[in-house]
Amino acid sequence: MRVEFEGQFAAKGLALGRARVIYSASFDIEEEPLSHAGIPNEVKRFDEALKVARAELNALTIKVSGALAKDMAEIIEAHAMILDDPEFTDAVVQLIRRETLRAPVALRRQRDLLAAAFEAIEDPYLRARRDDLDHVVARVFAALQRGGAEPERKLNAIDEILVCETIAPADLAALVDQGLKGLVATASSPYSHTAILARSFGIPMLCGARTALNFVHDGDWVLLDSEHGISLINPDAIDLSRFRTHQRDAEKEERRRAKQKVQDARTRDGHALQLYVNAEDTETIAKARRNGAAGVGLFRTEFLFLRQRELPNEDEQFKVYRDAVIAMAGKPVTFRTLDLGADKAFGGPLEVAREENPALGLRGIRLSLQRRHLFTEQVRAILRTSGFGPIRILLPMVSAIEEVREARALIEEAMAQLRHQRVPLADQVPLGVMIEVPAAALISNELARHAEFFAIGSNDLAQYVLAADRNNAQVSEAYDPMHPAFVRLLYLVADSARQAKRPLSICGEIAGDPRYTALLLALGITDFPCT
Amino acid sequence: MHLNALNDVRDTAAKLSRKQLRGRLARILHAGDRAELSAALKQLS
Repeated sequence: MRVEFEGQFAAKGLALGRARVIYSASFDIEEEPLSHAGIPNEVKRFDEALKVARAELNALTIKVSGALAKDMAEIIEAHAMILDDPEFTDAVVQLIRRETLRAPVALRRQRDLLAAAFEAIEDPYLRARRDDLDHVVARVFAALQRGGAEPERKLNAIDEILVCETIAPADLAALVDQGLKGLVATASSPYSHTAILARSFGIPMLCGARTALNFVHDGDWVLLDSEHGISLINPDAIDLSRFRTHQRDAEKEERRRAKQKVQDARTRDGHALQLYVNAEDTETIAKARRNGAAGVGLFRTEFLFLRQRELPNEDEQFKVYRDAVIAMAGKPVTFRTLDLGADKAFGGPLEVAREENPALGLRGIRLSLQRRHLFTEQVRAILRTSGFGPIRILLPMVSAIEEVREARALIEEAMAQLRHQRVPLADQVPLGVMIEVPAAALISNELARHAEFFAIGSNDLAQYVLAADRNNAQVSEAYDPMHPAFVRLLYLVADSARQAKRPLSICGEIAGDPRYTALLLALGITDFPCT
Repeated sequence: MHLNALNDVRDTAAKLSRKQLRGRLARILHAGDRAELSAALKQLS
């Protein structure tokens, strides 16, 4: 029987496939009485379940690879943070102890409390973080019920469309690897990490399709048209014919976009744009090059320092950097030197003291100049790649000319040493400055005499100028790149670069967001590294 | 993700005239509040 149901658009696309139905773990638990003597055992069970959940997340981090590895690692990290949050874990233990509840009951009660707090949030993006909480609770709950590790989810066949209440981002990634075609969720939201990931994977997703699970059975044909917010079970001949037409149009549009390479980027009046890619993995870099990217606008070197338990040595760094240069095949790769501070580095292989206010603390070039051996080792690794293709070095968090002078002296010293060791190097390696501290923006005309290029770090510059942390929901309205003060500061930097004939690019959220393209072009910025 | 962003920026830029945008820069820079800035930017797209 043909059934049509509606949902909310979450990720663009059309898909036709067999349904794979997954019912969520039920939280219907009988509240069996617990004696005081049983409390330690319940606390132990909960601790064990937390350990299993953490181990599962760790295993997922190792498994995920490819172009989306970074995005996935961030999502998994967000889930791991919930598992370590005392407001979640301690509260459950307190409920077990104070109210003599069994672990699953205490877990459900704490989830309900936190879920109510999320539901009260007005901002839809932040409210969607409830999805993350549900995924983490479901993981711990499943571990409690099973008493061990979770068996891996597998598709029955390729080309299936998943119909479920919601699915954790990591599980979605695993199913996409197996050939999943689309996703219909009865809950979730377009702002959830699952939806963000579905958009990244390019698979269609419909969310909030509340009645879907009442009608769909495993193996039913499902036609998913997420853009129109509909899904059909057992579509008829007319539906299928319409689907084929839409599919042909979509493929045509895809081919048109693929032909129009990035290097052809121009304004209507013929002004050329340079579009760069920001990436660290060779797969994405090579793909971007094939699409005509002008180079790597920003290679964030800190990812190497955060992924390992030990600090990477010069040779280890060199190999990773060299692969990026080779993948870009003759187009420039801009390496940003270590941009770490206490917020990211604390607890990692780089020993950094905890700071009250890491955003204003020892980070970026300040840290590099304090740990000169580390900076020199990194610079040597970067310089050695200059024999393989054009490269540039970019200094983060610069706030004074003295920092550029000092860094340049260390780079020149490293170059002289490498030449002495007969390492093949480029004659010159341009040195650039990130403009992300208001002080640097205000003296950008002076900095232009000491640096060969500029890159505006729009995220940090906006939050320092507006004194608003973009990750703090309480002040999210104050963090607005469309603030006249921020726009004027951008113009000041663009004007300094223009007068000194220094290439200027911009990175951060506004660079890859088409809503800001007109503003940036009006300001005279034409180099866009897109993240 | 990266390539989609590149494509979106490219498609948007293709509809804009840089000469016209530069011509309206003064109005953007003189905007005193967000509303004035939004109004100036609306004319750009």
